[in-house]
This record gives sequence, C-alpha cells and structure tokens, in this order.
Amino acid sequence: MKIKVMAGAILASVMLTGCATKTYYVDQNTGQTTKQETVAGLNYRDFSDAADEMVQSMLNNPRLRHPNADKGAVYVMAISSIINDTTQRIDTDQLTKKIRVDLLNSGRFLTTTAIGLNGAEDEMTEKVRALKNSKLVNQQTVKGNNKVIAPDFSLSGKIIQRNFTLSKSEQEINYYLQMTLTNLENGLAYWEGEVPIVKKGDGRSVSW
Amino acid sequence: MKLKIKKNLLGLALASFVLTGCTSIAQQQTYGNYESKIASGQLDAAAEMAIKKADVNPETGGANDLLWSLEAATLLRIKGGYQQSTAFFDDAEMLMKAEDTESIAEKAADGVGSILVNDSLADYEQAHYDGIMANSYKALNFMFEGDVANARVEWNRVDDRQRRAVDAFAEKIAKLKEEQAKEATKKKETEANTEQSLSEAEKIIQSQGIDFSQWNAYQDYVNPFSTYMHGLFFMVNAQGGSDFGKAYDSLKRAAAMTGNDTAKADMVLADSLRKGKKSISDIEPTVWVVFENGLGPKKEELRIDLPVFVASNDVMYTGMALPKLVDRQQAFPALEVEGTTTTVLSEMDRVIHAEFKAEFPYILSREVARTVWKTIAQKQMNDKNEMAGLIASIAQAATTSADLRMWNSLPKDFQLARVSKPKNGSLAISAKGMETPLNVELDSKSRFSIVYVRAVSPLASPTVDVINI
Repeated sequence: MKIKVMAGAILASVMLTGCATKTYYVDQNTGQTTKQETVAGLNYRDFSDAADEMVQSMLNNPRLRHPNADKGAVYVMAISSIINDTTQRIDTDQLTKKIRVDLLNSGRFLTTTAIGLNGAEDEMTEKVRALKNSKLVNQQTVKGNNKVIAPDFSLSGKIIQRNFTLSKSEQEINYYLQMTLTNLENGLAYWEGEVPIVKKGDGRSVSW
Repeated sequence: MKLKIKKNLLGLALASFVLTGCTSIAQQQTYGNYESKIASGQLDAAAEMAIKKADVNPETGGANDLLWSLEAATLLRIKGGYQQSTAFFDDAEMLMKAEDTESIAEKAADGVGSILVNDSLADYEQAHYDGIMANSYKALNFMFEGDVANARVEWNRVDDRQRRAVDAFAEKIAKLKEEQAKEATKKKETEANTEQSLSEAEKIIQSQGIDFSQWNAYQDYVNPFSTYMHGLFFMVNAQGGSDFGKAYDSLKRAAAMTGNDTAKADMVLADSLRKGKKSISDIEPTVWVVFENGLGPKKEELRIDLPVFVASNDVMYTGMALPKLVDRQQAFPALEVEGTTTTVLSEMDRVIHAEFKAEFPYILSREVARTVWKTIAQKQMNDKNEMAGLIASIAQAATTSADLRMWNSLPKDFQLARVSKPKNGSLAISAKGMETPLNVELDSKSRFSIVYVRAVSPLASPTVDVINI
C-alpha cells in the first residue's frame, strides 16, 4: 500500500515538472546543446558577451587607430540606428551602451551625444548656447559656437532573429547581432562584426 | 444503507446541477448581451463589460481571463485607446503562453470537470488565429501611435505565429488521418459504444444541415490579412534592402492566396523596390484604405436531445450539445474611395471556419464519449433506484452544453483599396447604406498614408485611424 502511494506521488511530481523544458545555449561549432541554461529572449549576458567580443575585434583593427594616437588624439563616434528585427521588445541601448563604455575606456573613441540620427541624444549642448544673452549667466562661461566636434565614425547595427521548429516540444532560436562602423569621411565600413547566439528551448509556445 | 446511497446520489446530482447551472443558457445570455451592445454601436458599454470580465488583478494590473482580454483589447483599439488596448493584448499573450506550456498534470486537473461535465468548464484554449490577430492588432496600435520600432517587433511576432500555425496544422491533419486509418481497421473488432455512436452522431450532424465541405482553408491555414499587412508595413517602412525582400515575400504570398488586385500591384511594387529598379521617392504619394468589415462568425449550440444511438427505455434523458458556427453580417458591402471600390482581401470567416473544421472531430469525439458515459451512469443509477435515476437525468440535461466561447469582435472580412493621395489632402469615403460619408484629413507632409476603417455594423458609425508615413 505504501509503495503504491509513493509511486503515485512520484508519478504526480514527474507529471508536474516533467514537461517544463528549459532553454540552453547551443555550441555553434558542434551544433550540440551546452549545459548552460539561459532564456529564450536576449538577456544581459548575451548583450555583455556580444559587446565584449565586438569591442575586442574593434581594438584589434589597426584602421580604427587615430594616426595621432600617440599624441592623445581619439576618434569621435556617433550612434546611428540599431534596428531591432526580433520578436523581443529590446532597448538597443543595452548593446550600444556597453560598446560605448568599453571604447571610451580603451582611449580610442569618444562618443558624441550632440549629434544623432534623430536629433541629439543630449540636447543640452545646443540648449546652453541659448544662454548667450542671459543677464543671469556669466557670459564668459557660455559655450561658444564653432566648438562642437563633428563625428569621424558612425556606429549602426541590426539584431535579427530566426526561429525553427525542431519538434512539437523543441525549437531553435537564432539571433544575429550585427554592427558596422562607417568612416564618415569616405562612407566606407572600416569595421564590421557579427555575433550569432543560438539557443534551444521549449517549442510548445512562442519564444517571447 | 440504501437511504444513504440515495442521499449521496441526490447530493451529487444536485451539486453538479447547481455548479454548472444551465451552462448553455448562461453562455448564450452573456454573449448575446455583449454582441447586441457591439452591433448597436454601444462600444463604451461593450468595452466596460469586457474589461470587467477580463478579471484584472488590482495588485498586478494583469488580466486573468484570456478571451475577455482579447475582447477588451479589440474594443479599446476601435475606440482609439491604443495603449490600454496593447496592455490587454500583452496580458492575453501571457495567458496564451501559460496555456501552451501548462504541464500535463495542470492540463489534467483543468480537464477533469470538462471530461465529465462539458467543454466550457476547461480553461479557454486559444485558436491559432487568436494569437495571429492579437499580434496584428498590437502592431496596428503601434503604427497608429507612430512607434515603428515596436510595430516591427509585433509584425515579426505575427510572422512567427503564422509559421508555427502552418507546422501545427500540418501535424494535426497528419495525426487525424492516421487515427482515422487506425479506426477503420479496428472498427469490426470493437463493440465500444463510443465508436458506434461517433458514426451515428456524424449522420445526425449531417441531417442538421451542417456541411463542412464548402469550408476551405487559405493555403497552409495562413491568415492573408496579417500576411498582407506584414508586407505593406515592411515596404513603406523599409530600413534597408532586406526589408523590401521581406515585404515582397509577404505580398507575393498574400496575392497568391487571395488573388486580390491591389495586393498583386503592391507585390509588383515591392519587387521593383527590392531589385533597385525603383526607389521609394519614385513612388507617387499613395493612400491605402484598409476596411475591417462587420462581425465574424459566432458560436451557437446545436442540441440533439435523445439521439437514437444511446436512448433506451431505462434512461429518462440523454442528449448532446455541439457548437456550430453561425455567420454574421457585413457592415457595408464595400467602401467607395475617390472613385475606387474596396475589394475583399481576406475573409476572417474563412480563416475561422477552417480552424473550426480542423478542431471539430476532437470536439465531437469528446462530446460523444461524455454522452455515452453520462447515459450509462444514469442507467446504472436508475437500475439501483428510480429516484436516483431521475435526478441523474435532470443533472445530465442541465450539464449538457456546448462550449460557445470564441473571440466575438473579430470582423467578417478585410477589404482593400489603393488610391493616389488627393491633392487637397482630404479623402472622401462613402458606402451604400452609410448615413454620413467619411471625410479623412491626411497629413500633407507624408508621402504615404494608411487609412484604417472599422465598421462593426451598419447601425454603428465607422471609426477611422490614420497612419502617416
């Protein structure tokens, strides 16, 4: 009798938990599922790892080194559009912010917040110049014209997602994080990078 | 001892009677009331009812009822409350996901009542078109708000849901064929009541004039409206060449499925954009008018009392109840837009019919099994005690009910027209039977506009949303 009850309890717990399929990363070289658990969407780790990989690749690129770097000269980068072409609601700043921070810390690039595709990221650069005739403000401290630095490079990108049904209970989710650094002098892409992220998870429902 | 059994049985029968009440009557009253509010144009009252029934948790702000969240979101969208509508659609999507991924044990627990009593006791399980339309409407909400980035995400979701639906239907149909083939070889060996009854039930359904043979799905069970709008979105909002490719693929698919001339012309346009033969600036200022027309099918109960195959002298009542789809009306036959008449792009009726047809064999076999089970139980009670038999028969009559739940505020069809943007920036829209023609002001700075007209019935004034691109 006791055995029966136990068997029942075990069966019930298996039924309760048995179907919760977890999501794992897939090793892109072998195509095999790794033991690293993740979520179906893109999480902090995905963005952080992708940004690390991309920044490393940028820093290894000699074309992205200012000719007068020895004298402390740096390139100025503007942030262009990062298209989120996935099924997830993503703030693309999650990716660009880390890249910006790492590039700033590397001493190779500064990012302009005064010039952007849809206006300035920080409008204060322009706003403070309106203080020129203010009686309140010490005019010697008002920022003058002809001072704002135009960018040398533009960072643009796209995040793409493709889903594939493997079986009724499993699906593969592929993300491609693509970025381009365009030299604004000549319009040529001086650096390009792509980081694919492959995950395998529960196929019974959608991946978002 | 005998008295005790009698009491228990009486209690059981009464309890099930009280618990389920007359489910059919309750369902019919709720939906009837809701439908009449929509059809007569009382959208505020209908939305209020849907929001109340969506069962919003006051602490989390999330809705708990999937179907009523969809209803609330739809009506809020028509009324122009885009953000609130999107929030309800988001809740509905979360509830759909929970339904998809619930464990076998949860499914079993959810199904216990429904297996024994009727289908309407189980949680509502969404149709594929529910998910596809929820994301389509959400994408439109974002487009109306000018939020192209989030609209893109929702159209991508639509695309993924359509892909999943194609896979699921292919699997479902293959499985059904396999089961039918198995049944055919097994039939002679078994004398099971259910087997026999199922074929008898099919005869009865046919005799009721229900004929599924005219109900044909669009290719691969895809919803052409969503496919077309996906294509149109990526064409007019393209950010790079691959978006024109996406637009072309969807417009080509929609044109092939529907034969709609505007969809075909758009496909040709997307093709020349994709190949670089034309650029967006070569295209003359254009207005697309999308017309969401009337109300789609609703479910009514087909009640078959005392079907011959299970009736015997020892039972006082037996019967079964099945859902049937009843088509509703268009609001207007078509819209007249600057000398151009809208044509049907996609019939929501057809999408819903096809999915119902695919699901019906499962609904039928569940109901037949239930009827057989209930009738045998009643007979056994009757054999022991006539009073108990009587009570069981009352309980059976009261609990026999079809599941009439479905998304009720979807349209009957979607129509489409494409016209040159009027020089004065004002678009005149009329229709046969429309009391006051619509005058839509377009943004003079935009090259393209999508004018979205929703008319639920000829009695309610149509609502208009404009997307300026």
